[in-house]
Amino acid sequence: MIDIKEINKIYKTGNIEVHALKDINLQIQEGEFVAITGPSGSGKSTFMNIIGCLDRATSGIYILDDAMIDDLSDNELASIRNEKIGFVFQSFNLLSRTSALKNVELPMMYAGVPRKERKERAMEALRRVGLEDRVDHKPNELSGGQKQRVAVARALVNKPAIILADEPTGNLDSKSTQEVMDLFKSLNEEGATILIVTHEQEIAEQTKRMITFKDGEIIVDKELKREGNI
Amino acid sequence: MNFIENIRLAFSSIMANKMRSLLTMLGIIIGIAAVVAISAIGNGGKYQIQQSMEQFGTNRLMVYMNWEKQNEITSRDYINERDIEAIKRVEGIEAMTPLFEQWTSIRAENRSIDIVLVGANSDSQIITNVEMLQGRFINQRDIDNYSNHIVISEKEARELFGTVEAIGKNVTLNTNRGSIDFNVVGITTYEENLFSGMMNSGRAQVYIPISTIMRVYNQSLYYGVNLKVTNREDMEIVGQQVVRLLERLHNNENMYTVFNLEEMIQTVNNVTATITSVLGFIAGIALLVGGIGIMNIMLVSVSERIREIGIKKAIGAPKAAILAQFLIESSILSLIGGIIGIIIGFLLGTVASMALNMPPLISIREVVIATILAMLIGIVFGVYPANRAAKLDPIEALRYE
Repeated sequence: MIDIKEINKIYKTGNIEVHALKDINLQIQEGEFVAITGPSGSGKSTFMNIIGCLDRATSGIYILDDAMIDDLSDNELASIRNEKIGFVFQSFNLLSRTSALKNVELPMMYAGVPRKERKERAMEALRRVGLEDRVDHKPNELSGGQKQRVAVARALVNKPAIILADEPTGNLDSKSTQEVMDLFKSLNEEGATILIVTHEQEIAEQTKRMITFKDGEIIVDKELKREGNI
Repeated sequence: MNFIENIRLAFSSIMANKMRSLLTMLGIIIGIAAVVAISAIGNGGKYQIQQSMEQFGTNRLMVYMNWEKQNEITSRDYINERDIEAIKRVEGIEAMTPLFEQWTSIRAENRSIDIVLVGANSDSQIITNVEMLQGRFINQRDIDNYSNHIVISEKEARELFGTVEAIGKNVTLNTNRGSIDFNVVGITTYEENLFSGMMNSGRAQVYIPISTIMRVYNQSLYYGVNLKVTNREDMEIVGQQVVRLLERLHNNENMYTVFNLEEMIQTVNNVTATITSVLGFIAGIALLVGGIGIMNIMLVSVSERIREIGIKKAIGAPKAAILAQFLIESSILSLIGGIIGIIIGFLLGTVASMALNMPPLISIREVVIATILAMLIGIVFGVYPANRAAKLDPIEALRYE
């Protein structure tokens, strides 16, 4: 699913070079539930951006779902993001003047899905996250947890290869946090590949695999046993 | 991202900032309104000049006494029958009438109106483009018989008799030697035009046989001649030839002058063209300023929505989709401005034309051109902001607060 070989990322600001990622090697299989942790500045966000095809590595090979990402143009990257990746952000990043339904429809607009199918699939995704009674609400009429569930619905509506969540619970209270985490867990049980970036240990521990970054390198990569099932 | 979706998006964004959008459109509104109003007035004027010219008579020349030399003119210099016969032989003349007019009044059924009494022959109708509504024009028999026949226009007919059905009725002509009865044999159409007011103080022309008018006023000399020239290109030459012929016959100089409507229209047209281009230039500047206004507001709009752009790019919007979104928004903005401008321009043009007593003429062509122009401005001045939005880095854009 994801195959990363010898990835390096170097930022240049004037004469100063920052080596944000150093020779990262990583494989993630379909159906995995992975947490990426590490202190700020550890390189986890940079790594996330590269996996999310928002940014390119300075060197190395990144294969996502059989596609060589390094060779692609900006527009090709955009369509990879559209088809293969579902983003969930810390600050929700919903379009504020647009209803929940339209927000969820947005990725399908760029994918060229016909209007009617778009609406049906968006409804289905919102039903999946338990917001079927909030479809016409705008983001400012929703609670934090509800907003994040809309964002999750948007992330999964195009049936992506992987859902990338960047600190998805960072702006949520503990009750909403658990709701969102439970949602991720059940999506994973249905077969979705999920990667969560977080600095919270309790969040990371709810996944099945924890990868810890420090100073641009992976220092820990361990399987977790989730209590209860499996 | 489909087109209709983008249009809806653009409208909601424009409506979300009504006041700002209106102010942005102002330049476009003024520019387009000016363009439409100018062309409406210009077209109306052109149409009217053309109409007047047709009424005055195409290819028509008047050669008459040079009234600037009024004090030097003696009876020797006026045009006599011998001159008329000589002028008839000048090449390139299609029709000719000796010129004798008298400002007077006619009355019937106790009503009296001021008119210009014109001595006519059978050529007069050709020369001055007289259109008959009823009856006939003055003919050669009338001239040979010195008949008391009169041709009036529908205007006089209505004013004197209350109807245009006036054939066979009598009107009384007031002359310095008393009243003479005339029988109406023809009714002409009447149309107000630019030159009737100028030349006859709004009086309508009424025709009686040239022979009769000369006898009634006891005259044998004419003020000049009305000519119709066969070819338009020859008008100036023929005019000069007639003047030279008269000067030779009378052995005088500078006593005759030529009135050529074409020349006058040319002058009027030149002035109009100058005014139009000056106004057009001003309109162009307004449109340019309007375009810059649009560009400015679109830049604001882009920077207000950097985050939105970031979200869209993150979830897979290609550059073209972002570009299209902002281009469509700027074109719709200026298109709305353009439509408002067209409406205002139409109203302005109508009011101005009414004030100038001309018909306002706005053709579909001008409206289409103005609309396309407005859209074009939106696109041209929207390219830079839209491109800036399309080129935003999604990571930077998402991080933007």
